[in-house]
Amino acid sequence: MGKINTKEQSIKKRINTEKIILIVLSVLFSLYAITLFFPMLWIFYNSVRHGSDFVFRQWQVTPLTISNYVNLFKETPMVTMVLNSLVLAIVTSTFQIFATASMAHATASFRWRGSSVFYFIAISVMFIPTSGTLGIVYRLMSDLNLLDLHIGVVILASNGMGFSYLMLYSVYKNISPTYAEAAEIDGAGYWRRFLTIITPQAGATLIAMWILGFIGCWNDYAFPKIFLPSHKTLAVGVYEFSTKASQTGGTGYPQLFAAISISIIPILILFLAFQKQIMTISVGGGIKE
Amino acid sequence: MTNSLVNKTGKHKNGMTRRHRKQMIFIFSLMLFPISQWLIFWLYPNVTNLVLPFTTYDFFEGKIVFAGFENLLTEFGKVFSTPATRNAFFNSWRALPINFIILPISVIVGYAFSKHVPGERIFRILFFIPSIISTVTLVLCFKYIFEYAPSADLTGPGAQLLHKIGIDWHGWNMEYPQQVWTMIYIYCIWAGFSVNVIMISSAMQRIPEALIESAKLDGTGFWRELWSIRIPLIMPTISVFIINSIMCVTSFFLVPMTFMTTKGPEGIFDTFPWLMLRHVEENGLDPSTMIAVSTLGFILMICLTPIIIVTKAITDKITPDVSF
Repeated sequence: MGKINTKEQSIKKRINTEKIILIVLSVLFSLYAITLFFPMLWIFYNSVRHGSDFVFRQWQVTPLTISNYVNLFKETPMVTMVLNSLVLAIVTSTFQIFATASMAHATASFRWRGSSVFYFIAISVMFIPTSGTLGIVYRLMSDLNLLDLHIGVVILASNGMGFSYLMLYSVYKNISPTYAEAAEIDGAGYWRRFLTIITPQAGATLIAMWILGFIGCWNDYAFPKIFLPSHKTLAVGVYEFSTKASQTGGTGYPQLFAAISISIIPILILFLAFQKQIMTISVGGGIKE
Repeated sequence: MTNSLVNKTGKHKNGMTRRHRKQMIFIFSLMLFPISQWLIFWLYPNVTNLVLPFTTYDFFEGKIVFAGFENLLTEFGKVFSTPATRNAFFNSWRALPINFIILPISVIVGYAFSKHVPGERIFRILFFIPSIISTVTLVLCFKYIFEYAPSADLTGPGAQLLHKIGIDWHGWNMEYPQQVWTMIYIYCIWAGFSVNVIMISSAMQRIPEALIESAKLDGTGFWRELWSIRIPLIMPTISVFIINSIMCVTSFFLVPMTFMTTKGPEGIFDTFPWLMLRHVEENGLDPSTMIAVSTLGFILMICLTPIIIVTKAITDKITPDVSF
């Protein structure tokens, strides 16, 4: 009896210790969360202040203004940059999803000789380390007359392989063929079954992947910078504003902060609206064949 | 399909039924774009990339000619003889320790999430935010918090805090490269572990509860449970992160580039990937640029491949033969 009591006490003690550790960690996480948000709030707050207030009255409450945003749109090609980012993000993520879904459906939903070879090819791009192909791809894009064209960047980024393929492969593999078989009896062809019966069943995953693809393209700096030099995107523009702002002696910073805010806010809204789906997709490791 | 090719049972002469043939045409049409894209933009560049470091551009002939190891050895020699190349090479490797600091932090945070730390649901969302904001934007947010430019009367709140606690922070000043690099490390850790956390906690949550409970009954404490049970059982996930961390060396440029905007004297903030990017930006269509970029990439890969193989062998060896 005494032994059992001692064991119970020791388990209770361990549970209490665990609770204390978790509370301490929770406090640390809260502090970290504050450090995550403070820079963004500070940037946003200063984007609605006058340049002189930002430099000389940093900790004073001063009147707010939207002039930085107005001037940004008036004095810089902000509208073009936003449109470039938007078009590129929408079209590229749509192409990516279509390419990935096609590849996943072809290898997961049908049994045919060679499907495992293509499965291997599709996942191998994740594991084979590569470096130094930038010069070759640049030359290739030029030879194919795709340099400085939106469609060039779209094609280059829409490979339909790697991690997204692996995710969709397992989704397509687990889709029951019952509805597709019924549609086949009713005379629906392969494309119709793929587009209207099978793919909608993968809808939630596809939407989440599309959003992640959109965010990735919206944020991408390297591809548009190198392969689309005449059509600046927002990520490229913000970088260039930052190099110019440092020459203005500080008063030009609020305008740069307005550009930064414009690049963050749509993504934050998109993320908060679809965070559940995005988080489910990002768990990734949880999906098994 | 013509009738002459189909026998009475509907079977094609080569043994395919009509249905099967239609199916293969459909599969082919599905894969046409992704496979063509892979052949043109992945396989061709990567195969060419293996050949180019052993070539040189003959300006008189106007073509690329085989040069054996000459080009590769010359470029590799620069890593030791030219300060700018040396700095660029070794700075690329700075990505390694950063990622190896991030990993244990991610494991501890992921473990706390799997234990349902108070506020877990909101933390999951908040911690994910750095991974959805562009690197350029996030770096700029961090950079201006720690901005210190007395000549422009600028001191960001972070810089003010550092000065208050007695740290002699000189801002993003090229004359203090070690201080700047330390700050870049801090940024990378601050912004870098969020995605890992989500994956690690989900891998931990897949471990059967019965296994954890029985360990608890045997007297396993909080940290022991993490070290002796959870970490070994999620080693496959951790080993993927480790390999990815090593691979980061090949893409480490955007963070130092956004913080410093220029490579600094003798490339003190330069990295190999940044050097490749500049080569292409400056003269991308020149064949010698293509060779130079390939050679730089090849040098990195020569150094990385044995590290990856050894790491993979070690992680495979310590990974128990179970999966959840």
